[in-house]
Amino acid sequence: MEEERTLPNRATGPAPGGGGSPTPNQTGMGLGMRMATDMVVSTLIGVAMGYYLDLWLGSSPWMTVLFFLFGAVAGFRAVYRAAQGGPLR
Amino acid sequence: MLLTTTAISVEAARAAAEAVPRMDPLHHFQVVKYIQMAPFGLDLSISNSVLWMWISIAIGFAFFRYALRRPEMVPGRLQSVAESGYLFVRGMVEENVGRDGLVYFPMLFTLFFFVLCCNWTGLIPGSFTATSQLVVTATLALGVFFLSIIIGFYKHGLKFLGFFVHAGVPVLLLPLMIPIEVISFLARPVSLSVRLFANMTAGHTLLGVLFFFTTTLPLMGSWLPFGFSVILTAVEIFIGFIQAYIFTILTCVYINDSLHLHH
Repeated sequence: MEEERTLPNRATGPAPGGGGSPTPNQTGMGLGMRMATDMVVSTLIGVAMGYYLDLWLGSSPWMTVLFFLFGAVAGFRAVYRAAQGGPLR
Repeated sequence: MLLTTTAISVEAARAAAEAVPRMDPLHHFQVVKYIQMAPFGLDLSISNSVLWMWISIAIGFAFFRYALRRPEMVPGRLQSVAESGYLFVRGMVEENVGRDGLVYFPMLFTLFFFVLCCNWTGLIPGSFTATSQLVVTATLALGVFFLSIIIGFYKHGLKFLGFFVHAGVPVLLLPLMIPIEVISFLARPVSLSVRLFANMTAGHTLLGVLFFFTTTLPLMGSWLPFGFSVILTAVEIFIGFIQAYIFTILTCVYINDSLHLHH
């Protein structure tokens, strides 16, 4: 399937409709909404994972602390990626 | 004397409190079951949420049927709206997944217009916003999530697990990177569903509060919340579109990640 990795963004052929229509991402609003939820949700997922690992392993509170940090890093990284990679990624 | 006046004022306040309509901006999010049924222990009741999802689907279907009933070379007004909707989603898929992603185009097209119609029919006064229920959005998001996992394993087999390991990361860092990658991956369906649900709920709650003030404030004050509610309705139409767009484009991104392991 590797050879079918087509379309480095409109280079090989014009994406119909992709040319003229303004996408909401260009307003930055969609991007902002993505960033806000991604950051919160990643942290929450990390905390939840750590909490249940603590319940399972009886290692309270260390896993919660550790996975809170992991979650926060994942959240920041998601924001960084969203901001860095242009409109989409 | 003092006692009687306080008693009277308390009575008056209570009477006034009963006369004043109670503010309940969350009232229109209540799920009401119209027809109860639970075959095989599954709750398949027809609620207002289900009913409005059906109505949204019917509206979307009817719009495209009507707009494209006599397709012409030079499109009329409705036909060009329908065509630009089609091209919009198609461009989104081609740009984010590539041409081999066009297999998934019918699903993504349906997803986009389903979410869009649900968001927009929810703005009709007296209707119900199906996408303001976390159950609905979470079902959609989990469907997307598992679809991307299935595509990944189908296309790449066990190599798909390499999704969690970036190329060029030192082995020492792997214990740090893998939990972060796993958390990022698990956060996908949650943020996808919560974003849509929270945006719809927040906007409609705000509209509810503004309409409450419009109807209860005296005439001198009511024009202000009324004006705001008019503006906010326009903003809600925009947000309904943007949320459908984000939902679909993130689905594209997830499918692309599963199709093309690029690490």
